[in-house]
Amino acid sequence: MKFAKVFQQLLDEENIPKEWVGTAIQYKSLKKCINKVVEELEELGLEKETLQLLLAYEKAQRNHAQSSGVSGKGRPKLIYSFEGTLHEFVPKITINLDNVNGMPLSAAISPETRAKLASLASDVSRRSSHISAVRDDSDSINSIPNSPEERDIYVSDREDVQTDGCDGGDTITIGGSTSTANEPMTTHKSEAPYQKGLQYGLRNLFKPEYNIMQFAGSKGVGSSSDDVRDAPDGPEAPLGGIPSTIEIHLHSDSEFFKMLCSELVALDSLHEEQEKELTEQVTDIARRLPHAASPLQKKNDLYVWREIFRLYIDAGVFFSSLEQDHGERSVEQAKQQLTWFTDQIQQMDLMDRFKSPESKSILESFWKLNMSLLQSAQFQTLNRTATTKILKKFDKQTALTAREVFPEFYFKNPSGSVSMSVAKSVCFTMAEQLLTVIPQLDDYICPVCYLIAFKPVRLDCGHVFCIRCLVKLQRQQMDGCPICRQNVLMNANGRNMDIGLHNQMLLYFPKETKEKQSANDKEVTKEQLQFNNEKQCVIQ
Amino acid sequence: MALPKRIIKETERLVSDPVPGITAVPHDDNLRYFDVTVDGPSQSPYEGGVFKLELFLPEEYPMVAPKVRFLTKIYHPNIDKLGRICLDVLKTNWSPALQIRTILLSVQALLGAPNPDDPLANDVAQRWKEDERAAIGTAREWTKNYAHDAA
Repeated sequence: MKFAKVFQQLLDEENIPKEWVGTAIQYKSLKKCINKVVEELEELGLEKETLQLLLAYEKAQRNHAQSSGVSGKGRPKLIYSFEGTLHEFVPKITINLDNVNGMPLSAAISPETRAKLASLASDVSRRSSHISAVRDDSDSINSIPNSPEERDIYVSDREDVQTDGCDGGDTITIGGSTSTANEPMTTHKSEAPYQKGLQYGLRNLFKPEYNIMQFAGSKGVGSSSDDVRDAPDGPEAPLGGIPSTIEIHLHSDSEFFKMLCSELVALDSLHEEQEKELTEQVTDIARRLPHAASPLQKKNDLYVWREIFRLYIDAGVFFSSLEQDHGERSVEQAKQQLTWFTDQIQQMDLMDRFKSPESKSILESFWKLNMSLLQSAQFQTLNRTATTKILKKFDKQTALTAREVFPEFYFKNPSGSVSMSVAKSVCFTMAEQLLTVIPQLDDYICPVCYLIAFKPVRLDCGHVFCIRCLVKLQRQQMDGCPICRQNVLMNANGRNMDIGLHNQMLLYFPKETKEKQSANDKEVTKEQLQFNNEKQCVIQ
Repeated sequence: MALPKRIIKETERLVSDPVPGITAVPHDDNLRYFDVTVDGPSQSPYEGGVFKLELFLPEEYPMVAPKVRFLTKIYHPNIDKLGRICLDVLKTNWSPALQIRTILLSVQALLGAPNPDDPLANDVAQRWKEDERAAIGTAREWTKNYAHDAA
C-alpha cells in the first residue's frame, strides 16, 4: 500500500485529535510538489540521470581524495544547499566549472555526462523563454527570491560560491527574459549546435539577446534593461571571460521546502504546547500525591503507591533501561508496556488496597497522562516517518541530496531545534518531580547485602553502607571502600552515622527497617553463639 | 541455610536483564552454583567462540570473591590448563560491591586483552611474548576446535 494512504489511514484510525490532524505533514501535496520539481529540473536538462552521474562522480572524487590522503583539489563540482533562515531561505543547486577551459568537470567524466551538461548550459539559455528568469529589480539580486514565478540562474566567476555578495567585483548575473529571449533564440539555435560541449553552451549564455547585468564592486547594482550590452552576435562572443559558477534557484524546489518547513514549524509549536500541558499535569499530580501517600498522613497509601511506581519504572513504558534494548521505545512497544503496567495493577488488586479517598482519582490522572503522552508520541512518530519518506521520495525522483542537506539546515536553525520528543522531556519531568515523591527501596539499599542500608553509615568518601556490613568489612581489615577503593573504611566510627538518612528511612520504610533490624539482631546472636562455641573448644 | 537476599536479587536480575554475550544459570539443586557461557569478544582471537565456565558463590560471598573457572579449553596467557583464571578482581582486588555480572564482564574483557606479563600459563605467555602472531593463530584455532557450538 502506498504510504500516502497508510498515513491517512493511521491519522484517521488512531484516534488522533481533529485539531492535531490539521497540523500533520501534508504528504499528498508535498508529493505533488515533487513532480513539479522534477519537471522543472527536466526543463533545465538536469534530469535525474545527469544529476546522478554528477553526484557519483563527486563521491568517487571524494573517496579518492580521502584514500590517497590528498585533499580534494579544488571545489566540489555540484553542491545542493540551503541558504538563509527558516522563515526566509532558498534551496540552490550550484555547479562549479573549471575556470580555465569552462568545462564543468575534469576529463575523467564520461562524454555522455559532458554532453548533458553542455545541453544544460544551452538549455538554460534556450529555454529561458519559458522560465521568466529576469530580475527587474536589480536591488534584490542578492536577496532571496521569493516571488512565486521566478527562477534564477546566477553565473559568477568568483571562487566563493557560498555568498552572493557582490564584493568580488566581477560577478555576472544573467537572466533571460520572456520578451527578449524567445525571438533571437531561434536564430541562435540554427547557428550554434550545442553538441560541441559545455564551453560552447556556456557562451550561449552570454549571447546578448539576454539581459546581461554586470555589476562591480560595492555598487552591485545594475538595472536590467539599461545594462544590456550590444555584444557581437554568435557563439564566439564571450563576455568578460568564462564564469566559474552556475547557481540555480528552482521555484518549485523552494515551494516544496517552504511548505515542508512551515509544516514542521507548526508541528514543533504544537509539540511545545503539548509538552507544556503534559508537564503541568505532572506537576499537578505531584502536588496532589503527598496528600494520599505521605507517611505523615494518618491513612496513607505509601506502600501501594510505591508498588505502583515500582511497576511503572519496571515497565519502562517510553524508555527501556534494560541492557539488551535500552533507549526510546517504539510506539507499539510503549503501548504494550503501558498495557502490562495496567494489567499488573489490576492483578495485584492495588486499587482495592487504596485507603485514601484521593488515591483513585490520582491514579486515573496518572493513567490519563500516560495515554496522552502515548498519543503525542504516536503523532510525532507518524510525522517523523512522513518527513523521512517525503525527503526520500524527493531524493529518489530528483537525485538531489535533500535527505542529507535539509535536516542539517533545519536543525541548525534555532527556531527549528525542538527536536527532542515530547515523551522524553515529559518523562524527564516525571522522573524528577513525580516519582521522587515516593522514595524507592532501590535507592536506599546497601551495595553489599542488597537490603535497606539501615542503620546507615556514610564513609568519608560519601558512600553509604549498612552498619552490619561495615562491621564485617572492618573485621576483615578491609580498608578500601567497596565502591571507590579509597582507604576510608577502617577509620569509620560513630560520627559516620548518617542521622538524617536514618530518620528518613524510619519514616518512609517502616516495614523494611524493622525487618532489617531483626535480621541484624539474629545474625549478631548467631555470631556470638559461634564465638562462644569456639571458645569452649579452645578451653577443652 | 536460606539463600541471602543478595544472591536472590542478583540471580533475578541475571534472568530479567541479561548482559549481552553472557549467560549465567543457577543449578536447581544448588543455587550457589552457576553454569556460565561467555561469548568471545569481537576482534579478538576468541571471536565467534562460546566459552563455558562454572561459577560458585562461597558461603562468605560477597565478603569473598566468587570462584570462577573455564570449562572450555582455551589458549590464553592468563588462563591455565585447568581453566583457572588470573584476574585481579577475582583475587586481591575483589570488592563486595562487585557482582556476578560485573565479574563475568571482567572475564570477557580479559579475553579481549591478554596480559602475558602477568602469566598463569607460562608456556602460553612465553610464546605470546616471543611470537604473538603465532600465539594468536593458535588461540584462534583452539577457539574453532573447542569453543564452537559448545558441543
